[in-house]
Amino acid sequence: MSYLIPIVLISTFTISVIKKINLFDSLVEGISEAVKLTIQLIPYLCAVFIAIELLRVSGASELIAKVVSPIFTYLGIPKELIELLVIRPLSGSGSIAMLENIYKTYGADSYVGLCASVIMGSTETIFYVSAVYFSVTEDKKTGVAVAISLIATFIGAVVACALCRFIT
Amino acid sequence: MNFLLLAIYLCATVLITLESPTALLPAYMDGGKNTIAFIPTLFTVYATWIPITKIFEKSGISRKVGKLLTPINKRLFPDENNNAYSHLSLNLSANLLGMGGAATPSGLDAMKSMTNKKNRIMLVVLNSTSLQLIPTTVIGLRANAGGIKDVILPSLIATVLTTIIAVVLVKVFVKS
Repeated sequence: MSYLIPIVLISTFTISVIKKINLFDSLVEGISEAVKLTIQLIPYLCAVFIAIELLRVSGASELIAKVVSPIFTYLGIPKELIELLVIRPLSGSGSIAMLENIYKTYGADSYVGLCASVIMGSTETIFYVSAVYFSVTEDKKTGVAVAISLIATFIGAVVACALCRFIT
Repeated sequence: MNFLLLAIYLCATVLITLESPTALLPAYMDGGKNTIAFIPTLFTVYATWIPITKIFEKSGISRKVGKLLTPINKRLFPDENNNAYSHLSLNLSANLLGMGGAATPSGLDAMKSMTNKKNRIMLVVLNSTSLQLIPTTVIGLRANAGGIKDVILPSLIATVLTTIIAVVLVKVFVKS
């Protein structure tokens, strides 16, 4: 699988040659968007990075982890992931901050880091997506969409942690 | 989100003040510094992948993937008009290819043009449970943090599984 990303990149560049797409233009356009996106995210990231520090310094992180530990152990989810799991359906930038914090604290290749990666890579910001999508309709009682998404995501998280036991 | 952050900021600030008041401001400062230290990484991840998705868009790859999805679309979202199907194809292919920016506008167009409430719930659920085949942001952040183990396959399995669960739940429990 380590060849997958290089293959995607090489085939995309090759296609740009075949289809006569100006690579330089695409790079500049894409990177301009990256600049805007990154700058837009700074306030959200900062708010959550401060929250992470506050949780850590106050000892609240440890306390929360201790409280959920029995349930999480039963489900096979590392207790260190509680904050990521809570924030993931609410905020994309917030969960990116949490993920980076997990990599820094435990390492990207630790069991916690691997579980966090797979959970992050296979989930979405449920509440945000539902709010945005339903905002253009006149649908009422849209809670069922959120409920179903949360159930599916939670089962996915349990399976993700089980799958990570096989990565060595 | 507001409530969650308020709870964290208030409770943690009170707790730190009780323990050691001098540790409070350094905690805020560190949070800010961590953000700035993290910005180059995040920017680089985006600067690597967004141009690639631009090429997907310009070369018609995303449209082709969308066309391939039409038969699946007609099963997932029965009895809709062609206009809705074309928006749905674009939305799903953008999601699969990780083109976050392109997914939302086509998704909103699809929401507006669909006539069936159950189908609208299906689309929201599909978008809320992630369809992305390659989690590019996660892979980028992992590479930056020195991770060498591969998470693409387990992520893909988890993504497919949550999508199947979500589709089944909508089909079984939501009335049209």
